[in-house]
Amino acid sequence: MHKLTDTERVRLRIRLLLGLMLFLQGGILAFLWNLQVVQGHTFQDQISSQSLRRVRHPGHRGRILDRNGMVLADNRPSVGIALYPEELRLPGRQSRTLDRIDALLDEISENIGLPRTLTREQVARHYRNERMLPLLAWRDLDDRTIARWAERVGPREGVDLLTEPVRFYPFNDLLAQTLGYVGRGGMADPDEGRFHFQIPEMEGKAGLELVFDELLRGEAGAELVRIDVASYKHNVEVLVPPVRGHDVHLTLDARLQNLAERILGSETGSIVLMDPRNGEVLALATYPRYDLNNMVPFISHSVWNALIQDPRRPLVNRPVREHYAPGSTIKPFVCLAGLLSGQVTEDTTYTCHGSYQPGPNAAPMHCNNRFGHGTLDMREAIARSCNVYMWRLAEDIGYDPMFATLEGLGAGQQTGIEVDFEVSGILPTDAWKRQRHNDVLRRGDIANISIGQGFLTTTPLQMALMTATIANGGTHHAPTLLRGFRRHEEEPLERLEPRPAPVHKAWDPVHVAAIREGMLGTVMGDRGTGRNARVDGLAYAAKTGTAQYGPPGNRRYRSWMIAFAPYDNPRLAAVVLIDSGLGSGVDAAPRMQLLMQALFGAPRGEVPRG
Amino acid sequence: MDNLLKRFSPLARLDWIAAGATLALLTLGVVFIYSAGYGRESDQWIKQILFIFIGLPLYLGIALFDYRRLRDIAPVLYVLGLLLLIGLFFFGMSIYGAKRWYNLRVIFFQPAEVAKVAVIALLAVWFGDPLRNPRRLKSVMPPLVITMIPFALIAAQPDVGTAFILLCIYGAMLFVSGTSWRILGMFALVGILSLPVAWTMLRPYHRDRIMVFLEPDRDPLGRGWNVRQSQMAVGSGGLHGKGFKQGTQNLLGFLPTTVAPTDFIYSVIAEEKGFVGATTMLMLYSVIFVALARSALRCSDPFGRLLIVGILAMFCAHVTINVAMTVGLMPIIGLPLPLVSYGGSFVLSTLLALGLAQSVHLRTG
Repeated sequence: MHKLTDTERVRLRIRLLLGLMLFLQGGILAFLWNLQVVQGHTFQDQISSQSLRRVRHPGHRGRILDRNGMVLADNRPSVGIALYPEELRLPGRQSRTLDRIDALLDEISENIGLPRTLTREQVARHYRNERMLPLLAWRDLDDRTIARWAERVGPREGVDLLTEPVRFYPFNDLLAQTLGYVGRGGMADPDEGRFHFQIPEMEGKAGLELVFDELLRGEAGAELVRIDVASYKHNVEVLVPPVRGHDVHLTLDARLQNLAERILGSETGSIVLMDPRNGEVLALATYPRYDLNNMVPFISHSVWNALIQDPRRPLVNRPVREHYAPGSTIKPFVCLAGLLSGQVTEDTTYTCHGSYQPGPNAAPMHCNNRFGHGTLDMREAIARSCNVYMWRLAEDIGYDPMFATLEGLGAGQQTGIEVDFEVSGILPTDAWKRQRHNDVLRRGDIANISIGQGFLTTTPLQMALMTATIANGGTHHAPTLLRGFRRHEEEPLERLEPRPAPVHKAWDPVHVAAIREGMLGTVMGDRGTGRNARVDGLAYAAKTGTAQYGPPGNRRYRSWMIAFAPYDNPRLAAVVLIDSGLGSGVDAAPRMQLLMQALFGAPRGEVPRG
Repeated sequence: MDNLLKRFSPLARLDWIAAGATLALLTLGVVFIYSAGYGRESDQWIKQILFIFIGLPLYLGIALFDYRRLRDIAPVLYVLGLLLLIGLFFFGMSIYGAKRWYNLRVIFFQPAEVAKVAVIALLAVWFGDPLRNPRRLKSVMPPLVITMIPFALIAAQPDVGTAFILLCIYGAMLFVSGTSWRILGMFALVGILSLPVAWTMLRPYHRDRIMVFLEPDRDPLGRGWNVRQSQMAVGSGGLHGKGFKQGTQNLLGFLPTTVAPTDFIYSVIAEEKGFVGATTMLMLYSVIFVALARSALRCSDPFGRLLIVGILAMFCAHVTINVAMTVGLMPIIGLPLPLVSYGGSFVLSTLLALGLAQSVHLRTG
């Protein structure tokens, strides 16, 4: 055999290499022939007039229910006319596409007899920023309009009816600030993949809708929709089915909530009802409120401006988001601090002459009874709300035990309840005052704190929590709104994390009993400050409070009343607060009476028979 | 004046067939970049023209440069290439998690382009040394090391496609150097046996792409989307195509707008110009392959010959892999199509490499 020279071998190898390369190109051409010419029609059919749409469907949003299964937030279908800008796109300049959409909107508007809702600028903005989302040109169509649409317009390229779920709040303004509302969510996370269209998703914007948004939301699904030239759906291939969100069950009782809101009437203020046996919040009422159905599917400028310009600030969830001087309602807890410190007993007496001088050169401070209460023991001091007793007691025990007891009860701290925003209030310390006022707490400050004035502020919910802890004899249950959540009716209720274990305070039963008796005296005692809130057939305990606020000489007060009922076996801790009232006896006590009457009183006001 | 003419006179002996095909492909590239960006008011096609106007003088300038001087600077070029690749890990610009570019403001500079040419030059120096016997194992191992160092650096960016091109270059040059079939067979065997190891080293998204390739309906919405849409674009083109600027897949954004003018330009062409257009493109590339191979056969200088073979291997591997992946014959590894895809850095480096081949051509026979 002929032996190749090196050069010959190299030349042969170059030819072989070229041969391999050309062979590969030939192979690709053969493949292309098959793909484009032999199978070309299959692909053309598939692609027929650009037919494959990838659509993202959000999961069905879960409902919010009260403790008895009454639905507080639900979904209703709403039929609208949607534009699909991606399909209306024309080649060339953007303005051509906008012209086309403009003409289309005018035509539909004429045919269905509704004025246009979108300006060209709005369309342009949507086209630029959110082309993947359908643009809703008309919402909430009635049957007649839908009929006109079907008859005169009908689905065509780039326009179709779109049924989307809209949030619906059956009780309008009930529990408004706590429930919150939804708005339209933005576009999906690009990590989820590419979509031609995304059906708008509801997104919690405030309140529990926001807090539990992830639970309520569910998981979006995806569909491949094949559409022919005339824009009719050919087939829908579900690739990922959407998963419905969880129903969230609350501890709140819609009937109690409604009662509380009605009793509050049109006074700016709060009512909190709580079960002292487990910390479950039963009602979280406030006034003013707003209609949640005005907030969905989106908030109009006029509604929003009216809400934020209203001086009564209706968006604020007062029971958790405002903090107030607690006034005399703090007194039972100050007395408890005295008992726990061991420096006084329930039988310790002080004599009230109507005023008290915190320091040698300080101005005298006055009791609510200018003539003095005389000599009082602790129960009597609580029932009759004597300031001097508290001042003298605070002076004797000092600030540290007061601070420790109030802190242990939760004053001036967030309770951790499941709301979107909660303030802490203020339980002052030396450090706090140094930071704020560059000074330490003086005797006068401490005297003020002991009657719930001065620097001390609490939220209505904190007062309910503290009342509940006295009511149940010393067990701290962290307040909660959430019973649990579940996807389907038959599943058990779940929580993300277990509730914190109740904290049992190691209080001497004798001490608690004294405080409870003092509070009982407020209502049931002959000279109790809350005796005009008595209810036939019910023994309950309470404490009134009328706290000064604002500039000196302000004739308006924080009118408080805290209570628990029934006295022997409390099932309810209640707080009534009127933000700008005339005094506890005028505003708060009658409301507490109505509340107790409705919940525990004998039936009254029936039409006499016979 | 005469002097000046004399300086440029060698250009008369340019391989005009290769140059003509190159120019034709560049022009078609601009046309289809325009089409791919149509309706989006994209100005990429203007930029591409700009890059071509920078690239053509470069092409001719390199052709005038005596390639033999590359023999001495090849090691320097190689070391420079390595330093630039290492520097990427510290100063590189991160896009989609890969650090492949330096941001030079005017242009995104990809050092792998330098590395590819440097490896070709250094391998040509090594294999072109007549004193070495390419049939012995010890004379084919050092070039493998020369290839594997930049290979590892590029694969770590990660840019598996470009790294793979380096292996093609090495394979082709080893083959043409006249090594024994025994060594070639051995390398092939080692290559196949190391595939499972390579699989474990791949990033998850690469594995996804390969799985999607093997099983296209696995995830039609997600990972399979580009393949499916690209194949639908190509397939629906038919024999004659839908016509210029009529590619609905591209126009309506079913092909992602970011890749339509770059890695997937071939599917735009195949959709709009059909089988006829797609074939014409491959024919033009084949003209360049044949022209380069002819230059190599004509060349009596082993260094120059191997230089051309390396350039041919690089060019051909780019074309074949890109086309095969856009039509669905290969898993997607993001590689652009030489001369046609949008991208300044890549246009310049391709023209530079082809200019170098012209430089060899001018100085033979």
